[in-house]
Amino acid sequence: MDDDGGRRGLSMGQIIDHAILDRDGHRAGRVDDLQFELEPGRSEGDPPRLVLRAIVSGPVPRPMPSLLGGIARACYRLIGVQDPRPAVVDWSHVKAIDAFVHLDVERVAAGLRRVDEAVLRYVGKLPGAGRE
Amino acid sequence: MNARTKASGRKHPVAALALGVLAGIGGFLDTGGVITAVSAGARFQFALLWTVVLGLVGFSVYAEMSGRVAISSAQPTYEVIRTRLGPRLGAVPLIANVVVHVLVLAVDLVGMALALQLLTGIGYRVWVPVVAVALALALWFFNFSRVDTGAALAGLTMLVMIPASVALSPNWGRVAAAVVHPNISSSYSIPGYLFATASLLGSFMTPYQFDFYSSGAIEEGWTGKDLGRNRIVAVVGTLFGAVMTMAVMTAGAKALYPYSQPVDSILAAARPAQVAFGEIGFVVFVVGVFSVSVAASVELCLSGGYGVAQYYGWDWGKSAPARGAPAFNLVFLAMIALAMIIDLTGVDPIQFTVITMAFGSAALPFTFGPLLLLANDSQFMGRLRNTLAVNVVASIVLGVLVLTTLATIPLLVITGGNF
Amino acid sequence: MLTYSRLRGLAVSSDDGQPRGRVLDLIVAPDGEDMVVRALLVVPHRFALLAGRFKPRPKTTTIPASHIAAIDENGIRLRGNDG
Repeated sequence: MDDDGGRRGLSMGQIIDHAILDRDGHRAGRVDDLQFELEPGRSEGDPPRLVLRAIVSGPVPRPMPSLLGGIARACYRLIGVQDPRPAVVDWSHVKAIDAFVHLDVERVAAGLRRVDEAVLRYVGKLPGAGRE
Repeated sequence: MNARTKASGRKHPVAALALGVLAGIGGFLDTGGVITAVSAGARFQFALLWTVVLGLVGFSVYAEMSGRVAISSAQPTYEVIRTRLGPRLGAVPLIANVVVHVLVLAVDLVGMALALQLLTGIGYRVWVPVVAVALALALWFFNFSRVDTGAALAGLTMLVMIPASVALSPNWGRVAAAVVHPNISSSYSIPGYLFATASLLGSFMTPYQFDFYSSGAIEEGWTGKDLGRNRIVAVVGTLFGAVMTMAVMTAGAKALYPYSQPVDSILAAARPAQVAFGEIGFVVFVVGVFSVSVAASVELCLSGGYGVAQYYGWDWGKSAPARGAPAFNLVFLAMIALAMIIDLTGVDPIQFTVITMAFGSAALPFTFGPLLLLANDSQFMGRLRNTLAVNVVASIVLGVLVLTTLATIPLLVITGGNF
Repeated sequence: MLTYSRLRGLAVSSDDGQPRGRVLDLIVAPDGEDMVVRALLVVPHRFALLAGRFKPRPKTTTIPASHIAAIDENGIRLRGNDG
């Protein structure tokens, strides 16, 4: 019975901005945006379908005014992120949702750790960076 | 932090209590706390002692709330704030905090440098880069907790201010009356008095203790069973800091107020201990200021890293090596560098401290407001939501702080940053 | 591609151009292989959108996604028969 008018289901507010954990339980950024695809109805007269496709996460995830976006990108380059753009992870990789969004991919391979990886390239070389 | 890793072996209750006591002392009493408290005593005698009570109540209520939010959501406070408020609104407390953190860190670096100047005779500007580099190296090579605990233990030398205030034998009846009853003598300048109030509140309740405290609680794996402990820690730690602050202010009032001597240097701030116990008192006090400032600097660096890393969902953690949380480490290194640059531009250390503390209190509503909202959010908190009593007290504190925030800039202009 | 950041806050209007509010949230549910938007949670005005950040369960109107006629840059237009 769908007498609640379609309220049952997954609220996007429960996902957007939440922290992401990868398949190993490591931190992998935040859900900065979600991508939807607008498909025409399956048959004549059907309403269009809005299909959830992907999670967007990482540097400069949303369109920004050009000046602000330029500043943001410059800041990312300054700390070593050469190509500051977000990762887009297909929705099929989402395995569970609680306080975190759990994925079944590895964070570096999925491009979800670009800032830490970029900083690591020079910070990791300093003596003492691997101390226990 | 690796979110799945449970805390490796739960800490001893005493160690957990220490976390809160350290946050309490570091919060109430670092360079900023000492300088503003001595100055307030020197200028207004006992008339501002009541602010310590307000600070005590405000700090413990919000520290407890922050621990409770962390326990019930299994996430540190700022993580939850960012999730709830989204990227734009969530950036407001982050930016306010990081700016204040850097300024307060500059105050603490200068405090350490001034302490070294008093002990060695070499000018503090020479010491600023030395302590900045030493802090960065210590945080880089040693475990955060070890640096922090060591410094805070050394900071217990500040306890000297309690016997010092007793030795200076103030009129305890008047002290007690001033604690509960604000009393403004007609000879005081009202804007100066209000600016001092803002400065003191900012020095007691700097926002960094809240991310430090709640992130620490998460890293140590606190759960629902720790709620009682959370309450004790929040209250005991704060009480400890508050008593020491009152001692500093009272001693300042006794030693400096009668001579209308303004606190224009760290030397003047050390006067009360010196008057009470001579050279030994002086040295113990200076060592104490140095140590509490080291502890506060460590917590500031951690908090700045926590705030930024949690905002973006990066790795964070005080026990992780730099390789485990590179961007987190980069954040605090940058903070130390910025703070050092600010100090080397030639700001007047004492005036800079007082103004920074006032900005600190002006920034508080940006943290406390969201925290209060979260603690009432049944979705996050479930049955651990705020009770009515907590809400009433927290709202009054927040109300006073909002007024302070609105008044800070005008008061700064009127008083020129002096009181 | 439409993004959540674009959709959130988008104006919703019925087919006669009457404004119905702004999108606060979307509800999705599985539909075959895909996750498809089932409903729009709509608030009356922009201010309520901001208030939604602070209140745990803001008052919203639920509009089934089957009532959507078209979505473009300017907003979401509903079919006439949604009462």
